[in-house]
Amino acid sequence: MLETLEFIYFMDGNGPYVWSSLLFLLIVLVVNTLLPIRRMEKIKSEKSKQG
Amino acid sequence: MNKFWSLIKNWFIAMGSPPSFYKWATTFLPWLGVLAFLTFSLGLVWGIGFAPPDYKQGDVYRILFIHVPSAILGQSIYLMMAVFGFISLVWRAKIAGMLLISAAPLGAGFTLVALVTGSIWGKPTWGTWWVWDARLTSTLILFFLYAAIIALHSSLDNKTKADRAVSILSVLGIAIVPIIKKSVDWWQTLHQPSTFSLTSSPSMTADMYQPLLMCVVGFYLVFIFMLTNSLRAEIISREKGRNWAQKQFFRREK
Repeated sequence: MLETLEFIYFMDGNGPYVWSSLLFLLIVLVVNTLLPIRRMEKIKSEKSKQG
Repeated sequence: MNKFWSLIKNWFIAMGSPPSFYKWATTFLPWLGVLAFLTFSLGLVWGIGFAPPDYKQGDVYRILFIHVPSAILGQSIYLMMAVFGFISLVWRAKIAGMLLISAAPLGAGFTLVALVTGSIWGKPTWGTWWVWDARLTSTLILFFLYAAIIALHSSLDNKTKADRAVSILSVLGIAIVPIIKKSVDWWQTLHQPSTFSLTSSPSMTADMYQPLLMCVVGFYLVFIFMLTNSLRAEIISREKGRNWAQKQFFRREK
């Protein structure tokens, strides 16, 4: 099991290329998902400050 | 059958109204999120963890499961934006302008992922991070187009004028999409020919093609989820003074 995980992680030396690509994708997706949520929260807090 | 089409037509007309869309999106967004997350994760786990290695490239080809769907999304989001731009210019539909500008950062994101993962894939296979090859250069131009649309929209305070300006730019910029698609046929490039084709059978085996299809479906669902999420924020930002927004957003979210 551990050997399999190790193989998936290193992928015969290609792991850093594959995992860094996946990490970059996830960062872009998370940022694009969180930005609109933060925008809505900002509108809500501005509105509540105005009363 | 006629009843079915009139239902579909009425649904589309209702979705053209920001309050109706907002109400619909608020109800379905969590379900859409779950479906998108499951399909996206399944595709990536299947492709990266279980698809067989390529006989030439070994395991590094697994970047394909990230790179190809991102590149497809980068181009198809632009096509979609051009259609919204046309609708916004011809019929002055307010929601079309909102959809266009909500989709732009997502398209830019997927194009950037395609460029970066292509560059990462290029290093072990071509021996370089970047070449000024027709496919790479035209994709970089697409990314700059997205950036220009976002910058132009945010530089104008009047949102109606901003919508019209970016609609014109997105319609004019549509020429880049067939150039990217055909760049590998028209010019001598390092980039391999298109992975997907409507006219020929796939160039890879089923155990690689099936997870790739699953990834493409998953990426599209993730895009629809993120677009719905962004559009809600855009609608609220523009309509926060309206009665319906006071009722549906400010009271509901307290």
